[in-house]
Amino acid sequence: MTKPELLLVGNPNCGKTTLFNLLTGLHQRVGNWAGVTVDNKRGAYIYENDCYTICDLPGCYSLVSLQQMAGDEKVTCCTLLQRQEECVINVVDACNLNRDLYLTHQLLELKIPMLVVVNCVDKAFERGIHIDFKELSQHLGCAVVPMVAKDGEGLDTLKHAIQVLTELPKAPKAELTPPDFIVQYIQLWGHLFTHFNPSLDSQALAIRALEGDKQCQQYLEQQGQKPRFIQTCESLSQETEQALDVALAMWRHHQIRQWLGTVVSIPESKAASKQTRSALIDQFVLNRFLGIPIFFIVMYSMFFFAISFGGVFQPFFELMSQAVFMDAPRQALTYFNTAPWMIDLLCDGLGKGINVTCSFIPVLAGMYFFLSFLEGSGYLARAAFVMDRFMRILGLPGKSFVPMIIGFGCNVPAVMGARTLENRHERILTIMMTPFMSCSARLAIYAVFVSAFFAEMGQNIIFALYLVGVGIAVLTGFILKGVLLEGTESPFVMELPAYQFPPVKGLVRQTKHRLKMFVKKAGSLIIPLCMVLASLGLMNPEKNVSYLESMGRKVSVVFQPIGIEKDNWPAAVGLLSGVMAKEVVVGTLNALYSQQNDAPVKMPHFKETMQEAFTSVKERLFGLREAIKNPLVAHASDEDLALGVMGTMVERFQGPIAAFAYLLFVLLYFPCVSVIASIAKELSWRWGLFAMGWTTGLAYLVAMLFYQCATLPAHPRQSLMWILSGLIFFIGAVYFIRKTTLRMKQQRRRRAIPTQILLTTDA
Amino acid sequence: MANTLAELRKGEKARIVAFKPGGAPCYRQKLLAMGLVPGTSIVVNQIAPLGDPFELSVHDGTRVSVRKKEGCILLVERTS
Repeated sequence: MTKPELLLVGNPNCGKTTLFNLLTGLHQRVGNWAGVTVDNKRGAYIYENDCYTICDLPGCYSLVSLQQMAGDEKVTCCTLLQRQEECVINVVDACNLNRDLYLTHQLLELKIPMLVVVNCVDKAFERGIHIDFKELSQHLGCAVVPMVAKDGEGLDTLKHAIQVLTELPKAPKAELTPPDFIVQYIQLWGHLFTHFNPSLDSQALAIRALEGDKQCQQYLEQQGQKPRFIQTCESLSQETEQALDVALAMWRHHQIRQWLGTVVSIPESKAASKQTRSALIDQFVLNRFLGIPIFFIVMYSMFFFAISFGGVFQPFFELMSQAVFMDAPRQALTYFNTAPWMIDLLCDGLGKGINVTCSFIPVLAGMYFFLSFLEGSGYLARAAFVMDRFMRILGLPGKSFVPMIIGFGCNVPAVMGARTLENRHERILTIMMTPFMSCSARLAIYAVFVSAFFAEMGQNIIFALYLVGVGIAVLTGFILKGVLLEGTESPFVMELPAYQFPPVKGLVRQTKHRLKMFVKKAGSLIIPLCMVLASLGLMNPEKNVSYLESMGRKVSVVFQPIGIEKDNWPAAVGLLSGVMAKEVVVGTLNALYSQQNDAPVKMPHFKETMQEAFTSVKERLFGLREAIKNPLVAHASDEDLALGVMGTMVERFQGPIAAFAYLLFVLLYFPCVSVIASIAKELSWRWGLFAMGWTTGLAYLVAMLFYQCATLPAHPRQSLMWILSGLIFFIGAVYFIRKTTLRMKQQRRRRAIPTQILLTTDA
Repeated sequence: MANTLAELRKGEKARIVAFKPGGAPCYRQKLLAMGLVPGTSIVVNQIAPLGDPFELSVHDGTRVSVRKKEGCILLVERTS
């Protein structure tokens, strides 16, 4: 016999996902944080030879589907309105019964077969809250199962209750007396909804239309009842002297209070004791003067933990994977006399791709672990609370500040860290801003140029570059905000969960899970991209230079407006190689300026690289003390230009102005392939391509504007022409983006109701 | 006399008197669902360091953060 599907419904942060994991054994992400379930996930379990499928729906506070609702809440509303056979498991938090039962009330009105899980009864017990579950079950007219989902307590009772429920699904028998003022209304209007969805109560749907439910009102409009309905609403609202949604909410809360009066008892003395510890910590953490310093200290520790401590193991992972995936195959293939191009493609493409992916693991692990800790402990919610006012300037929630900080270390974890944002638009905006946070790999390039061109004021130049990066990020934010967030700015109703010490085992599991997702998703993109770049790096047998180099020579014409003259083609090739990873730019410049292309390249040796890998950990560990003082510098690559090479470079560049323009371009252009791969996987290919175009376009524009303005006296007419055309192009591009996104939005609006629910996880 | 939520200071107690018309419908619905209905007593628990989001304690212990500007649709009356 096929069992009806089970839908997990409840307020955000009440433990639905924990319960889902408990039932199905899947490892979904769980946080002490509202909005963890962004898409709905499915799983299954077997109990007494029957298979049950469960769908974990995103948390919501109310079932009324309204315009401008965040996408994930809409999913829950729509799924329930299209209900066929499904039964509902409604999860409520024992400590917040009076709030959580509001949703339960709405479910009861719809007369959907359901059972209620009262979660976290241990916490309620600690707080001295006594709950009479039998009495509650009688009021609600359905089964009530007390549970502690995180410890698995009450699981068997629940499974049994589900079995009973699905055997013979019955509508709950709660007595809900509708308020006087709508008794007449629901009698008149209820029957209109009998064909809306026969498996839902028609009178409840009529009530929802009063509250402004979009789908119910649309249904009335289709039947040509809209004008009469608006009239009815007005007269009803005059009668109650309240807005109708307010009056109906008061009715529900009144009913809930009556239920709870006989169900819950809290001894006065004990009620506040548990809450006080969190409140006491908050006195410091949210303090008017200490709040922001504490936030920055936490951010600094996160940065240190991820970038510096995680960075200790980065060379190890990098060299180790280089030895295994690049050097060893190269040695083996050379031994078997494989064609050189084949060796290059396999080792510098495939091997390098795996190598690049591996090198991110330690830093990502550090960041994931710390973020999970912040999430689990409840501080991330406070961080959002503290920074909210500040980030509101960009229309972003306070939380989005966190990934951007990580961006200064490495953009890849920053893009992945944006997951903590629940609203998709906010996530897009944050991710589009992060590539402009100058990562530590770029610092290595600045360092070389600064010592060559700006000996005296090096620090200032580097600081200016960081500021320009942040400035451009903010500009991007403003431009995209107008397009993306128009009318969708999500109002802020957040809870600050009580502090708790998250279990280390859970943190490790979460970190491992997220890492696996990164390797699987981003790695599958990084590898092919590396292969493409490797094939470009192959030697052209006719000219005895690599394709990349000959391409760079040709492309260098394009860079003339930003101050790279034709004979400075190595600079252009350096930029092309930086697409792979910013770390290789200095190396490329070194090789090209020193003109040692024909000199025999030292063959990397598997054994030597392995040895290097082990010594690197020791070195880095000793370097940690330095890193406390300046985490950015300690992490930057220690590659440097040979002295003679620097002279050649200075000769080729047209003075410090051209050098600074070059640095501006390096700061802003194409984030490395790994970042693009992460963006493409986190958002979509379109956004990945957009990020490529947007960053490179802006980089070109900014570098060109700077160079042309600075050299204006030398060739005023030409410069003015460049500046003008650059600005026109920029405005045109912004206009074009605006147009296309608005069109896309309209298209999406037309199909507001999801026609199918995606199956994201299979058991 | 009725005030808007934004006029309250840290630690002050108040009672919700009414909902002003307007505001994003889904925001109203969220506040209503969280129990911020007329007649409910609230306490301003915390104010963020930059002065904006408020953390409220609804009479029964639910803690909710709201922004000044958006919370303005709530009309309140000081009770202490």
